[in-house]
Amino acid sequence: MATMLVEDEAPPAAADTTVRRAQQGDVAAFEKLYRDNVDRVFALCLRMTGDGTKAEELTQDVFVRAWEKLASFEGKSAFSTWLHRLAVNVVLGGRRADGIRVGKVFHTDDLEAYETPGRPPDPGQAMDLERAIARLPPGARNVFVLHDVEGYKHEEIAELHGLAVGTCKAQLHRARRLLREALER
Amino acid sequence: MTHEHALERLDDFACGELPDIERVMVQRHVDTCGECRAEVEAIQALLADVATLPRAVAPPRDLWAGIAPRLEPRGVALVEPVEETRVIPFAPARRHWQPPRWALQMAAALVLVVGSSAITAVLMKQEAPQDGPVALGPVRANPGQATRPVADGPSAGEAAGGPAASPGGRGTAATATQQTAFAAFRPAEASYQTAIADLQRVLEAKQGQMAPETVQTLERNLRIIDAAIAESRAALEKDPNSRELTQMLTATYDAKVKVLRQAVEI
Repeated sequence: MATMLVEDEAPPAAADTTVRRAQQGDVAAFEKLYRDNVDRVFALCLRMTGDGTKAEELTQDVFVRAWEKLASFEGKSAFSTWLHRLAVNVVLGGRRADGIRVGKVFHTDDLEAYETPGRPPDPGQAMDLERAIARLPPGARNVFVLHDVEGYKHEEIAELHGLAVGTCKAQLHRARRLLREALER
Repeated sequence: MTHEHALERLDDFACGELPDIERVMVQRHVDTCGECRAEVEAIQALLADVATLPRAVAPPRDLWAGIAPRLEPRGVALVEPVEETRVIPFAPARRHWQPPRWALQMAAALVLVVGSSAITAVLMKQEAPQDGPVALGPVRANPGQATRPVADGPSAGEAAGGPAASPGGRGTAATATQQTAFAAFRPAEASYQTAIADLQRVLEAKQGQMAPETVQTLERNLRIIDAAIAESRAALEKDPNSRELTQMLTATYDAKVKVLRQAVEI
C-alpha cells in the first residue's frame, strides 16, 4: 500500500479547531481545510476518473458537498478520513449520474495533471503506471485505486459500490492483470 | 491445496489479506510451484510500484475560486443554477455523431430562460420593501442583523485577494462589503475568460473540419449564452452583493466552457 503523506497535515488540535470553526459557518476556516486537503482529494478524483478536467469538477463538488455535510461530521475519525470517504461517494455518484457517457470516455494521455513536486525517483516509471491506471476500464480502475492505492478493504469497496465482495476481488484481479500486461511484467 | 485453489487466492496472499490458516496453506503451495511463485512476485512488484505513487497531486489551477461562490451560508437553501443550466453534451469525436439541432437549441434556450427568469426573480425580490441595502442574505430573527450581505464573510474577500471582513464589521460597512461578492468572483471570471479564449482558439483552428450546420448551431448557441452572461453581469453591476447572481454568472460561464469543450471534442 502507498504510504500516507502526513507532512501537510495540521496537528490534531489545530485541525479540530479549524473544523469546529468551519462547522459554525466560518468560510475562512473551511478554506484552510480546503488548502490542507485539496491535493489528496484531487489525486483521488484524478485517478478514479483518469480525466483531469472531470477531476477538477469533482474536486470542487467534493468541497461544496463537504461544506453542506460538515454539520454531520462528529469527529469520530480524522477530518481527512471523513473527507476522503465523502470524495469517494461523490466520484462514484458522479459516475452513476454520468452513466454511459463516462463509460465511453477514453481517458487522457495528457499526464501533466499528475506532475507534482515530490515525484518518486523514477518519474518515467510512475508516469507509465499512471497512464496504465487511467486506461483501465472504469470498474476495474475504481476498485484498483481504492484497494491498492488508497488502502480500502474489499468489504468497504463492495459497500461503496453496492457490489458483492467477490465481484470486487474479480475486478481487482482484472485490473492488476491489465496493468501488468500494460507494463509488460 | 490444489494449484487452482491457490491461484484463486494469490491476489489476497500477495497483499497479506488471507487468514492465517489459508496463508500458510498457500505459502506451502507457492514454495513448491514456480508458476504461482512467479505470479506472486509479479503482483508484489506491481504493488511496490504503486506504493511509490504520491497520495497527493496538486490540481493544475486553484479550484477555490470555483468553490467559494457555491458555499451557502448555514441554514439557507438556494436554487441550484449549476444543475439547471447544464447543457446537453455534444457527442465524443469517435462516434461521428452530430448533436441534433433541436437538442442544442433546447440547451441554449434553457440557459437563457433559466438565467433570465432567475435574474428577473432576483431583481423583483430586490424591488420589494426591505429593511436594509441587501435582502438576499440569510433571513435573521433579529432585524438589526437581517441585512447582512451573504458574501461579506471573510472567505469572499480573501478569495478575491482582498482583506477579510472583520468579525465585528458585519452589516456596518455596506459600501465596502457591497463590492465583495462580485469582486470575489473576479479571479474566477478571469480564469473562465482565459479558458474560453484558449478553447475558442482551438475551435477556430478546427472549424474547417466541422459540418457547416454544426458551426452555425454552435455559434447561435454561444451567442445565446453570451447574452445570458451579459445579462447576469449587468444585473451584478446593479447588485454587486448578490450571491445568487454570482452563482448564476458562474453557472453560465460553466455552461459556455462545457459547450466549447464538447465542441472541441467533436
